[in-house]
Amino acid sequence: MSTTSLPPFVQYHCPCQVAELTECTTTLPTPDGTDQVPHAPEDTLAEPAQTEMPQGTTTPTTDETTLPIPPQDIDTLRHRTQPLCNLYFCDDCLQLRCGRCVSEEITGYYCPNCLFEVPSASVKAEKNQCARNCFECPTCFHCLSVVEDADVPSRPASGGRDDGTENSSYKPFYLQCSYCRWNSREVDLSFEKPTGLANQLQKLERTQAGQQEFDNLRGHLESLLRSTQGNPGLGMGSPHASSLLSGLRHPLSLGLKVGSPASSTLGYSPARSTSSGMASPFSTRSDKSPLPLSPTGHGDSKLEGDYQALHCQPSQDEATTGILMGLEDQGQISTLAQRSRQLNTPPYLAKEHWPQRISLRSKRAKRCRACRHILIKPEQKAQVTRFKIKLIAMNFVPNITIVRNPMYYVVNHPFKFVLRFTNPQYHATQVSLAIPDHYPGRTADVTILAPIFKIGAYNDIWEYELGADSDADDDKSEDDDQGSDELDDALDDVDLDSLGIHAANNQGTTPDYGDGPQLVSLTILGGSGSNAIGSAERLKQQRRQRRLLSQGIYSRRGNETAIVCEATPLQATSTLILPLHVTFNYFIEGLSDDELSDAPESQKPGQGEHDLASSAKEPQVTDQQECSFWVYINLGEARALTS
Amino acid sequence: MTDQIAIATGAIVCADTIIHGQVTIGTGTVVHPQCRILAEKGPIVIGQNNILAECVTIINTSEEPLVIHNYNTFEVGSTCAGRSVGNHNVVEARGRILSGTVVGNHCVVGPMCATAENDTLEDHTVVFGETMNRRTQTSNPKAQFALYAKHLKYLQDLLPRYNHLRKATA
Repeated sequence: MSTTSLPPFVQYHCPCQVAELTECTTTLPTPDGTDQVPHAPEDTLAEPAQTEMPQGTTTPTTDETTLPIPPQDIDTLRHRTQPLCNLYFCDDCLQLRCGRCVSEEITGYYCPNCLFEVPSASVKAEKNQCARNCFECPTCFHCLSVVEDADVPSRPASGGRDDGTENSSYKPFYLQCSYCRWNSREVDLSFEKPTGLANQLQKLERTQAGQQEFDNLRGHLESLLRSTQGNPGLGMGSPHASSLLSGLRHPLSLGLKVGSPASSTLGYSPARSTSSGMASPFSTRSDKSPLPLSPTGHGDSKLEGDYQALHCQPSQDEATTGILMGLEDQGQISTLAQRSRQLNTPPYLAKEHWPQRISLRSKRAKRCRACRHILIKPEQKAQVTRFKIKLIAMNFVPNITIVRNPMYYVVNHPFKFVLRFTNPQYHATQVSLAIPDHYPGRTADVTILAPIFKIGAYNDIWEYELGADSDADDDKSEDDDQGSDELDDALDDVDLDSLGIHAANNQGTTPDYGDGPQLVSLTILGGSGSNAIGSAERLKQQRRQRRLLSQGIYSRRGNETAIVCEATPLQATSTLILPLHVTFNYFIEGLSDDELSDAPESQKPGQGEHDLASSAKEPQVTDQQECSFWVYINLGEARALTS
Repeated sequence: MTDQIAIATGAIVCADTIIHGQVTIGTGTVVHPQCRILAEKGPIVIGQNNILAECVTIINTSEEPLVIHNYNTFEVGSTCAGRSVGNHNVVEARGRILSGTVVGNHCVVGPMCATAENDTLEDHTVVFGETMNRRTQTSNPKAQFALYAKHLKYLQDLLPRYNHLRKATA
């Protein structure tokens, strides 16, 4: 058990991780029926175990009712569960999906600087870097800008000999970093024209020993591959092929990074006479003829010839060591991050670093691994940040937040806490909760006073309306005031004050807890003008509040419903973790698959105005299915009573 | 300490500024609105053709004079409390020159960067990055100067159109 006490949280459990955990087939106590009669605490949990769900429109799969053992270690728990914002929702499997159970595919490449979309065919040839004018600073990785030298006002096109320039062709353009003021003239790099810099730079790169060596090796391997593919007798598994590759082993193991002192030994050059053709760049030879093979493909003397390194570069370790020993300023040596960005040759000295082309970024689509259904599909264009398909769990699954929670719990004392469920769907939904009776590491007795409740539909207007009321069934019983007296009596144990008592006992609890009661008073103040109407309104609100509380519902407004739960810790712990099984109704629009994908964003405007009653009457438009998932709720610390 | 503010003719000093103590502002210098030039003990001398952008604070808390030479740029929100600043320096947005620092010529203090107290910046030093890295710049000062002259000219034309100015006193 970890000793650190973490702030309370609600984490969602992705079903893909059930397989990793040792399962514990716990049956859930299911709340009986769908009635809204307030449950006494003993009713709820002393219910005999039933696995059937209240409304069997669909039978949930077995692993939904299988409780993964809640890890007692809080760190493990945090690794195995996720906050809601990290999850996706597959509307085909009706399951939560996490980053580990989706497969990604790249839909496009683009340069983050110029936002050019690179066709995937040329990405490899361009080495995953922008082939236009985008460079990053070798010192601070900022984007470089092209600057024209103002020294030479009219630059001669060819052979302009100015007073200060030694070069026969003066190059007035260079790259400059506006952040650290590095400029490419520090490495003697300037350009004749300000466009197509990557091409100009690539020409220079091609003359570098490392690049030539790489091209040469690639040519060798490609021709080797071609010859082995052409002859099945020369498969890669055959002893002959392995003998062919054995010649490569030596230079490969020595490393191909020319210039880095630790591995600058490409000086592996046995006699070149065996295969002089190898030395020429592959571009010239690969088109003409692959390696000549004897009809059998065995025993060809040219194939037997090992790879020949183009360059014989003597080891520079000693020279480098000498330079490094003589360093006086730590700014002269490059940092590890700077070195790792130098692709070809990572030199130790910072002044030898060249600007690098900016790496391309990719846009990725995500698929459910189970059903191959697309969950995330970004727009093709690099500039557009929208998604064609965006099935994130936040748009479907009720968001659970802890609204009221005591500062800490005391062992064997019942404490009430309030969970708020927010419905992101455009339809009113019904949520049913269950907590298993027995599970390993059970640390608290929990009673949910309202195991089944409804949440109003999401409406864009809710966000602007404070205290808006979506309670349809409340309105129906608004007139029967005569029941208020006995309700008042019944309220004594579920009253607002009783919720506040624990907070008062535990000094220092934040006073502005939930928004239920406060909001009620707020709406009254901001509402009707006249006093008479105001007081009547207030009475009505109070009555409603009490009635809700008697049903175990703390507050209900808009697309939010907050419910009261009661927890009695059984032992002292720093993290009081409860598993909670949540079932909600998911509405499938009567749309085709393509339209279905972005249904949450593009709803018909009228649908947002459904209240509970009207949406319940409209099963013909939508299909309704039950989804369920597990959440883990950390309520915080439970202390043993010391006095 | 009584205010002795000397503003040379040709200096553009907006009226919406706070200037206290013994302050001298040279010709061509542009002081944007909301700047604060506070000579609490010793005097502050600002040379010619400097640019002080909005919300710049130049403060001298020591007895010694704080001298800012010519052609310096103080970007928005930067602070200078140093001993002296040379020519052609740039203090980027919210950069800070802490007290006692002597800044040479052609230096750059990057955005959100600061010098140490009683520090000395050699010529051409660039302070940049989260860790206040330092390097020596080699860029062509002439190219930068041409750009700076344009910038200064633009501000000298533009600011008087939309702001009340302090009158030149010297």
